[in-house]
Parts: sequence; C-alpha cells; structure tokens
Amino acid sequence: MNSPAQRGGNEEADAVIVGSGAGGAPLAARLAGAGLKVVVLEAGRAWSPRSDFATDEAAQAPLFWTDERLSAGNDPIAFGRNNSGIGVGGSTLHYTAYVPRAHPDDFRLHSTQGAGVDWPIGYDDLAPYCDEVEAFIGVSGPANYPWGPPRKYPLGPLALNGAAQLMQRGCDALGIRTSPAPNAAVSQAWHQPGYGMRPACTNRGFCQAGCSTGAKASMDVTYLPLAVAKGAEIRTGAFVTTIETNRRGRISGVVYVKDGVEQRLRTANLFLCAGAIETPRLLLLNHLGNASGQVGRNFMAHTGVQVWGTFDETVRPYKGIPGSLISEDTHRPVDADFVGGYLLQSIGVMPVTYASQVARGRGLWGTALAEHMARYNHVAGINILGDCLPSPHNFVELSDELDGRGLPKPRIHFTQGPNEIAMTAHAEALMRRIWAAAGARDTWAFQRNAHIIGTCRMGTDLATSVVDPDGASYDVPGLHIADNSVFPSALGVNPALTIMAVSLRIADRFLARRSQ
Amino acid sequence: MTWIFPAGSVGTLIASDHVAEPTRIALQARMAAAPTAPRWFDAAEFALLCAVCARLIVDPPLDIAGSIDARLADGIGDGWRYDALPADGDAYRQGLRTIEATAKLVCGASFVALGAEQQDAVLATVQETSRRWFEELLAEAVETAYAHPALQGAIGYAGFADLPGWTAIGLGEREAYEPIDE
Repeated sequence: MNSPAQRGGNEEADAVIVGSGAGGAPLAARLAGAGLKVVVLEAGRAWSPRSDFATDEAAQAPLFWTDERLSAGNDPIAFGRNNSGIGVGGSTLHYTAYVPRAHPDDFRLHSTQGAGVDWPIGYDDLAPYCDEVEAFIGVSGPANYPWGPPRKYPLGPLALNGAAQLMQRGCDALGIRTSPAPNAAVSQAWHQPGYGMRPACTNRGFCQAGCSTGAKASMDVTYLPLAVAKGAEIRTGAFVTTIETNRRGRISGVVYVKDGVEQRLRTANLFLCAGAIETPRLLLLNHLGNASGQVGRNFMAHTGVQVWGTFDETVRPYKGIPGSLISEDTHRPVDADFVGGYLLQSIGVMPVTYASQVARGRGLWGTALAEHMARYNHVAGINILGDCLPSPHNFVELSDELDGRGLPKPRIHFTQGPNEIAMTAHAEALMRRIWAAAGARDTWAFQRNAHIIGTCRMGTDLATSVVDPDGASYDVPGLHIADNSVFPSALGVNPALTIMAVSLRIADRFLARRSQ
Repeated sequence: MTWIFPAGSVGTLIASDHVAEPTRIALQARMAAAPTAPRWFDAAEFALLCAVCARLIVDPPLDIAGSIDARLADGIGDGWRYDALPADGDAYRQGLRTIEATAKLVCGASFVALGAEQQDAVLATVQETSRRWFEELLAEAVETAYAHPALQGAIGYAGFADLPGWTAIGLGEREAYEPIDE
C-alpha cells in the first residue's frame, strides 16, 4: 500500500481493539471500566439510527461490508448482507437479535459424539457471562425456557407474528415443542446504563437492516455507550492495515488508514475483533501469529436451510421480530444420522430479500416470478440454525486480486461435509412436514449457510491453535483475539450471545493476568 | 391478486404520517429517478441488457438495465462474488455475449430481433449453461425491481409504513392502513 504521511506516532493506548461488534464492544466496556485507556478502531462510520435509518432494504445497504470477497468451494458462502457488517456496532447492526444459549454438550461435541472438537472452555465457564449479557442488554424471552440449563430472561417475550403462529400450529400437530424465542429486542422500555431509555420494540420487523428505534440490542445502544461512559474512545473510519511488533516480538502498535492518511497508534495490547474473515486476513497480511499454520483454517458457517410455504391466511411477513418462535427439540434428534443438532426458527421476510431468494433458489423469472411474488403476503418460513464441523477443506486465504484499498481480497473456501449434508436433509424433511401440517402449499427449500465462524481457533495445544483459552496468541505477546474467529466449533445456536460472553471472559482473563 | 391501499395508492401511504422521514426520502427518490444513459456498457450491450431485463421482470416500473450499468460504472459491489466468475463488469459482458451467441445459434438471429417466446427460450438455455452468472444477473434484476415502491405496492407490501409501529401482527391481522386483497 502507498505510504502517505504518517501522523500520531507518539499516541499510546493501554489497549487497542479492532472492530466494534459483538466481540469488540463488551471487551471495550470491560477494559475501560477497569480504568484502561482503550481505543476502538472501527472501519465504518457511526450512525444516528432515528434520523439515518430508512425502513427500506436498498437504502440500508451501507450497513454491510462490501469490500469484495471471493467465494469458492462447492457451497460458496454469500457475504455482505448475509453475515457481514460495518459501522459502529458491527454486524449487530443487522443481526436478527436471536440469542439462544449454546448447550453444555455443544462445547463437548467430540467427547459426547466422537466428531468435531471440544472447546477448551465449557458451558460452566460461559454461563455467568451469558447471565450478565442477557441482564445487561435486555433479552426478552419466556419465563420458563423449555430447553437447556435454567436461565432468567429479564423481560417477557415479544408477541408472536403470523409466521410464528403458523409454525406453532404445524409443530403442535406433530408434537414438537415450541416457545417464544429469546430475542435481544426489549419488549418493554428499558433503561440502558450509559445510553438512556430504549423504547419497547414496535414490531417494525427490520432487525436485519438496522433498528431505527434502539429497541434492538445492537452494540451501539448497549456496550459501546457504556464503554464511552467509562472513558473508551471509538475512532471511526479507521481501517487497520499493519500490526507492529518490537524487537522482542511483542505487540507495539498498529497502523490504520483514516481519511486516506496512515496513522500510528502505539499499544502493548492489541485485540482483534474484526470477525472470522477480517481477523485472519489481517494476521495473514502481516505474517503474524501463525506459527501453528492454523490462521484462516477451519472456516465454518452454520447450516441454515430455509423452508417456505404459501398459506390461505394472510401472513404479512414484514411485521414483528423476524425470528419470533423457536424449537430446540431438534438439538439432538433421536433419529439423527449426524452429530450435533440444530434449532428451528420461524422467519418473517422483507420483499427484496424474499424476491432475491426466489430468484437464486428457484430460478423463477418473468411471469412465473410475478405470480409467485403476488402471494408474498401469504408466505411464511422456517429455518434452521445448525452446527457445522470444522474441516481442513474450509479456509480463508489471501488471493492475488487486490481490492479498492490495494489489499489482497480474501478467498473463502467452503464445502459442506457429510455431516452438514445429512443435517440439512433431516431438517428440510422435518420443516416440510411442519408446513404440511400447518396447511402450506407450494413449499420450497432455500439452501444457505449463515454466520462466519472459526479461522483462529482457541485451544490448549499450541500446535493446533492460534490462541489459548484466554484468547491470547501463542506466538505474539500482547496479541489477543476476541471474536467468532476463536470458536473451535460452530455450536448449534446463533453466535451473538456466545461471542459477547467469550469477549467478556477474555477481558476478565486479561485483567486478571495483568494484575498478577 | 390486486392489493388495494386504503390511502388510495402506495404513493399516498408513503407521503403520509405513517412513514418516517428517512424512509420517505429514500422511497420518493427512487420513484422519481429518471433513466440514465449507459456509462459501463456500449450501446449494443446495453440494448441487449434492456431486452433481457424486459423478459426477466414483467412491466418493470424502473430502468433496471440502467441501474445495473450505473452500479458497474461506479464500481459498487455487494461484498462478494463467486470465485468461479470474473469481476462483475467482465462477467456481465461475457454473459451478454453468451446470450447473443445462443440466440444466433438456436434461433438464427440477434436476441433483440427475436419474439418474446424465442427470447424466453434463449434465456432458459443460458440459465442452464451459464448457471452462476445467470443467477447473479437475475438476482440483481429482481432486487432492483422489488426495491421499487410500485412493485412493492403491487404485492401488498406495506412494511415501509414504520410509524407508529405495528400492533396487529398476528395471522390475518391488519392495521387500518395496510392494503387489502381485492
């Protein structure tokens, strides 16, 4: 990259955090709360949701990471709006706010089922942090959650929308238990420390393209205001390119580009929280932290097949929180021919997303497309969120094609393995039965994989791991990773809650080590 | 299905107090957008793309080919592409050449000179032979089309009416200002 004048060469922070999403934000709040001088470097801009966010899919395109990625393998992953955000709050700006907890056996897949890997930490290590996150960000959920260890959601559940009622009908007929989902959108007005009042969710249905009211617990209305109240600084438009080390090999600072100018920020403690593509990409660009050869390896994406049906009743699928209902009866199906499991989620959908999926998934165009789209208001979906085993065939590498910043584009290889294929087939058959029982016509499946996970595995063996169980690099003192990159396996639930819990635990472990 | 808006039309609802200002600004700008001259494609490529889009989307209320051209000319992407395809702009040029070659091979004439049925047959062939690129083309055409309020209104979508929020969200429930299926 060109080297324009560098500024700020003497500025120093106790901790520099790259990325302001579910990984970086809780960490920033915790470290700043402990009195550290914390700077968060965010590649995107800050938003004022009430005045900036339109209830319009196309207008919200700037929420997504659009530096081009090359998708390879037999099941190439869609990036951008599928799973990758930019801006203060990161991907939480567009997450669905569906926050189920991982189960104890998700962390011990190899021990319990003989495939995949175990995490070096377990449910009991993360449970106190899950309690803390749920209580802090205001999770809405049922008083008695039917699956997994007991928990207490601070707010009652959000109302069920049409898709949820239909899924409930189909599941009831088949004897499958359902529950209002745990959602990180507040069902009542909520006082958020450091931010102020967050109003109750208005059922605007736009979680995946930005909440304009603050009801949804994205990081910009929860952990980041707390971090700022505790003294952290969030520097926007700051794209990190270079990680610097001193003669002893310890982290000494970073260089980032802001407004076209390179700036240096000195620090002895760097935390990468840029997500499972940009975090390994930054390490690969800098030839750093990769003595194990594991940086970029074991890229995972949750199984996420959707099944759509058309109903006689009017659904109007644009209203209510998109993921309204859950079932985890499929966490470990008794008739499974695969390891791990999945959850079932009812889904609403906005018209551009739905039309795009009809185009890609069914190949409909012309009159056939118009006739299908005419029934949009009668459409409801169910999707799964299922585990994905780590595989050496799935990885992130640097290509020799340069992007608009002059940096190599990442190429991501992803091919579903036999376990993902078997799980998807099981789930699709079950969802088709649920929709048939609920009275659906014209049922069809859309194949997809959601969420980017893995690539900088956490583990106890430095030969096969990038970071230790505390998120610290095995190779480079002062280098830490605290995002979904460190997940050794994908877990059978949506990742946001676990990312926040892992982030807080890594912060506490860092502070404990520091005080020794 | 014909969806009737109690406000009179989708445009009247967009202009009403049920739509927040940032939403209204985005939608009205899109409704007012005029067709643009091509900057990325040459005249023959652009005429071909226009003819293709006219078969993909029935009665488009906007200039879909012009929108694709503007995106390519401005170098805007959506964050990923199939590794098997070249960069978007090159992939489009290559794909259009495939459509034209298929038209000449199968029907013995240029795509733009064919009738609707023959054009559809050519596109169905290219959908099979250039699967990934055709999927990209179709997805972009469809996303562009269904972002337009006229088509959103035609399918009974009212999600842009974001104020004060929805309370009637259950099955078959409707707020007074949501469209009715006539």
